[in-house]
Amino acid sequence: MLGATLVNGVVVGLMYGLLAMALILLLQTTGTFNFAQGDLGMLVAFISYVLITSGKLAVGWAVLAALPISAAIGTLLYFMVIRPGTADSTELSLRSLGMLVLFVAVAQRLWGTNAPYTFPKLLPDSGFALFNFNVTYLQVATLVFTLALALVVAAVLHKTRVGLLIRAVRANREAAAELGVNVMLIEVAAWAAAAVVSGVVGILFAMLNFLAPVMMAPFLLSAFAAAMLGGLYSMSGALAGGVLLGLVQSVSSVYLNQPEWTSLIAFFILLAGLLLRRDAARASVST
Amino acid sequence: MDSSHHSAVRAIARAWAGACAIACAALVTPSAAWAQDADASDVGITKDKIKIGMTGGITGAYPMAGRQFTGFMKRIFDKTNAAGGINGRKIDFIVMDDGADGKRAIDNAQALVRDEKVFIMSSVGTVTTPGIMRLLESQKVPLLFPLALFNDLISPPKNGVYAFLPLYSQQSNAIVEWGMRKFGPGKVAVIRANAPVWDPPTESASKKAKELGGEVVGVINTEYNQKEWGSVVIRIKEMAPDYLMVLTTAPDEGRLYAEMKRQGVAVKKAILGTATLADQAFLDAAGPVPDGLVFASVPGTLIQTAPEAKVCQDLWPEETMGVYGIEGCAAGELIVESLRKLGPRPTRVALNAMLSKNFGPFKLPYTGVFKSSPDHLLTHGMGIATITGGKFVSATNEVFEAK
Repeated sequence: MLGATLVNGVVVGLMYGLLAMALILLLQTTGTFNFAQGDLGMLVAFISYVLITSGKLAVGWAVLAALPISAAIGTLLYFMVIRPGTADSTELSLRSLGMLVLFVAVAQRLWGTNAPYTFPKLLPDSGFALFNFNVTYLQVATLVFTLALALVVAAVLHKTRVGLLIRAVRANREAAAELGVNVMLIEVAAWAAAAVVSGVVGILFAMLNFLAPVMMAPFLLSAFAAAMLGGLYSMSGALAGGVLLGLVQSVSSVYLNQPEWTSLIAFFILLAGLLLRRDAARASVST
Repeated sequence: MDSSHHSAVRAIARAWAGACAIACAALVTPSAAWAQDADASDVGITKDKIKIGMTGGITGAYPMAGRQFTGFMKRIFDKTNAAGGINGRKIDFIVMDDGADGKRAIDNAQALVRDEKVFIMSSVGTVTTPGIMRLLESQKVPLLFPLALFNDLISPPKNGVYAFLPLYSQQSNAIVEWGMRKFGPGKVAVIRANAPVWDPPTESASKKAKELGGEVVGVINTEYNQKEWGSVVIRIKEMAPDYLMVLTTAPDEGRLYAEMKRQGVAVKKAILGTATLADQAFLDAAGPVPDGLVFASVPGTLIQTAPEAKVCQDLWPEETMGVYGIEGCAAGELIVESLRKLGPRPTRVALNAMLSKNFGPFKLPYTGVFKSSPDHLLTHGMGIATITGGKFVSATNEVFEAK
């Protein structure tokens, strides 16, 4: 039973890690902690679902179509919510809280009364056994996507000129602009890229669980905790944090039989992360 | 002097005329008001309208129940209104969404009672209705046939509160009894949402299993909209039960079954549950389910896919009617019948008197018999639904009495 519990914990933890990585992506590129990151994905998943169920697109095509749709939404949000007026990263994070409320309200209004929906799966439900626990191919695909995302973002940020520009903008917008960097273009690209990641995360979560306006809420606290555990700026740290959290929750769920403890544990880890990594948190706010 | 005298007389005459006009108006107005009141036999009743209030979770974590229950009930009222209404009055059905939130439900009920001045109320939500019930009791507003199945609703019976479906604990008792009589005694694993509403059904199932020679080998607590079912299935596998008793929402029960399939975990005899298990949302989330595996107790013998239920489905053809839809249909018909029987001058007092003593027997093509009962539960009959060929059908013609 322990082996299966641990494998289950890793699978669940990867989902926390993936959402945490989506949160960190925008933090790394723009210095903004986007509370609406998960629910943007939920919105994109709903759009894909409508495209599929209305018979307009097959599942695979709908997932592909979600990428430019997500980028467009990200760009739109940047110009409508983030760009107007002057705001520091704290204010921008508060604006993202407003977006979260808006996204959930829009989804409730348009699709809420029939939720939850079962999202069509891109891959069959079959898989293979690992320590007496069956891991599906979709879960493996999630793992692959998560790792690939971490590698790509790390490579782009640290090995390319674009990454250098992104880091320059994040460190000091004004100085970067003085040096001739097109700050707006960099920020638009960052928001669009983060939205694409969110869209994919939303679709993966909908396939792995269900599709509903409130589908991301149970994961968000755990994802924040994972991000804090990983040190806020580290993709691999967030992934490790997510897995650790998943393991602790899976073990507590199997051996303690108290489902509320999973949220409580996430909360305490978040609290511990905030206390232990005060400097990183402060840096994220002031950057 | 003369002119001033005349003007003074004119002024006095005008004043008298004005006073007479006011006095006459004062005399006429009460009689007009009385004439209007003659049709308004009670709060929420006017010459041409009966106001009925409803609060339920039409959005929120699991909005399907609220949407279908209120939606089908509304269509029953629309049909009644189109046929001339109830004793010449049209039903004014005011629905408020509470998002399955207890505080919003109470706010809604207050608004419906205080501002809309409804005659009676109904509600959706086993978790939200206890608060509403207490408010309505204090305001002496009848609460009719809510989609709420907690024990306190009728235990003890309350003036003005009437249930139309056997409670979850009674359903739980019936399905365990039926299952063990059919397949024999065995080990039961109970999977339940960790909410107080599921305490009595869990106890009821355990007690009945023991009574019939079986045993509950474990109770696994889950959350509503549980994030992952892998850990639950690991425990089920360890318990190797003969029966799985599921006590949560239909989509969660479906996702549990889907995870069991993924993990290759099966129960030896049957999966048992209350009416929530007999909802289409279970099948939507579970995917294909083999025949003869899943059994659910259905209150009032309401099976949404039964041929007799087509009259209800036809009222809202674009919506695939689930268990909550047919329950909304039946509750709507019961409200219409209750109000019709009250005659042209309905009052809350008369409604209470009738529902507690003289209502029924009343039966629709797709329901069992409803009639007054000292425990304020209008039907004690339950059927058993199972899945055959991917849809819910009646597993037996037997009707089980709620205990």
